Amino acid sequence: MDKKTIEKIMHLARIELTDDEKQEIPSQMEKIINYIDNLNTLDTSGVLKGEAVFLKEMMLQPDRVETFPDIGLLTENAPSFSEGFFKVKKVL
Amino acid sequence: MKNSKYKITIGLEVHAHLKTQTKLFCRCPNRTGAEPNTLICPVCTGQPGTLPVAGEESVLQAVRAALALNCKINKYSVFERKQYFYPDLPKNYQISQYKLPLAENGYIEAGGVKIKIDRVHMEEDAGKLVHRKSETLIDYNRGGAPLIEIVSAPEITSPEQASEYLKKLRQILVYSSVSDCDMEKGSMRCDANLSLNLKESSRLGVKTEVKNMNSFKAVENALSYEARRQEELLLEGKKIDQETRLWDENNNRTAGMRSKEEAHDYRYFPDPDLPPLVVQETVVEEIRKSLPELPASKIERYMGEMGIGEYDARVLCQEKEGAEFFENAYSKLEDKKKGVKKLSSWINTELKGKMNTEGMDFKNIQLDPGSLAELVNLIQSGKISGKMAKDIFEIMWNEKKCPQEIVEKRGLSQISGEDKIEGLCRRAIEENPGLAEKYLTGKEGTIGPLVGFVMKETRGQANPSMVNKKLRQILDGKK
Ligand SMILES: [Zn+2]
Repeated sequence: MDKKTIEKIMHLARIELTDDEKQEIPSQMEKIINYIDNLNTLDTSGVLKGEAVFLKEMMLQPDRVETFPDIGLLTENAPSFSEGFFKVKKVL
Repeated sequence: MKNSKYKITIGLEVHAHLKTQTKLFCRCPNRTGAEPNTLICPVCTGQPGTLPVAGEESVLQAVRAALALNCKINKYSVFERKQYFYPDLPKNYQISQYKLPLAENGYIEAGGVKIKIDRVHMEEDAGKLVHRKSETLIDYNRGGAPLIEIVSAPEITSPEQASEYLKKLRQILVYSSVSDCDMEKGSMRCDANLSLNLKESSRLGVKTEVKNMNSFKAVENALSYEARRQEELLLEGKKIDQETRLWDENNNRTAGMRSKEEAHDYRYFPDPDLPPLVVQETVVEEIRKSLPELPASKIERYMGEMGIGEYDARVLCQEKEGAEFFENAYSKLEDKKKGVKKLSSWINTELKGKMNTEGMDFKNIQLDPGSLAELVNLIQSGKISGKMAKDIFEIMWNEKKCPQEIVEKRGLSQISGEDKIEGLCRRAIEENPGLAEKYLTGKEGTIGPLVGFVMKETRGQANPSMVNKKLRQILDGKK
């Protein structure tokens, strides 16, 4: 995994890394990817597609509104929030 | 495209908003029109550490919709993460269904053809973006709202058929009370895939995806434009680019869209936050039983049991409320067999005409179906003429009174006394000897002006068919 790939991922995830971190990350990412390769060697032919690790089925919640009381908590960490809107650099 | 050597293949992906109280995976209100970012919570803004829990009503409504579209419900379905980077998604993924959708293998009948529906699945809506010159504003009120996506098989063969399919789909979803399906307001959205291939070939051509069509008409126009555009390119020997194009309503054309970052690989995988969705057979059967009678079956019943013509039956069933109005009035007809045609034409012509000019619909009219039935009963029994009925209808509409009351109050009852009519007919003959003479020599058409004479004399209050009969009786006696 080269520096360019790391920088692209950083950009997509909108995160910033120090130079030290940029050094560290590739080997960590490679470990993760290798682990997935490892998983890919498993024989899953008897497993239903989409089958999840959960033994339980999904619980559902009732159709009753509960308004979240403190919307300020949701907006105060946003990089930019004003006039009632979250704001980002122009995208299209 | 009539004389073209190419044939068109269209597939439609339709998103419809479900009519629940809450969003799909949180308890925020599922509604429009609120101030931006006031209907949000930690779940639908993707705060770390939150967990989605699916709403029961969304699942039930999605099942209801899928059944109304003749689909098979999958007992197990799985929510997956569809990943893309765009600010309308706070989590950078949308929870959707992919490999195992809620339902599969349905169909819609449109224009006499069965069009296959590949799948119906559930997903959450994204937020709304407002693009300004230098920045983009985001409102997450709509983010997380429950949607169903209905994917047709690529079996639609013309833009007209696409529009027909959409109208049918909308009608079915509205009838089943799962969605308002208002394209202009965005509660129903449609994307289309279109490709051309040589008529003799069975291999599909390269397709383009067309988006941003906000009405049935826009779908038809956009797809016609896109088919012509592709045809021109192919005739020039050029290649079609597989791309997404936006319909530009103002300029009547589609234009290629700059592609989103990494748009084509969504890297779906099952959402580890959500176990498989299980819909038990008993639940499916319960919903199946609670489905209202859908338009196709109503139309068949109106034609078969009630003897209404196909066109009238279709018009009566356009909206669920209209069909209910008709059925309610029908139950109050005295002579159902004879009255039903009159009733359906009164609803389809007079009533709908009135509603149109006054900007009303079946949800908000004040007119009671029973009183329209009563009006038809009065016409059928000969107590009032068709012309009088129109006047009475005006009064019913404006003053919300029942017809019997209006007739009594205004002395509008039709003159149907035999003696009185006979006297009037004799006068008509005496005063129009020329017309009577012609009738007697075989020109029976002159009966019309004679009837007209009597109607004029009575200011329209005589029963024309009775007058006609009486005139003939008198004249034929002179032969
Ligand atoms: Zn929420």
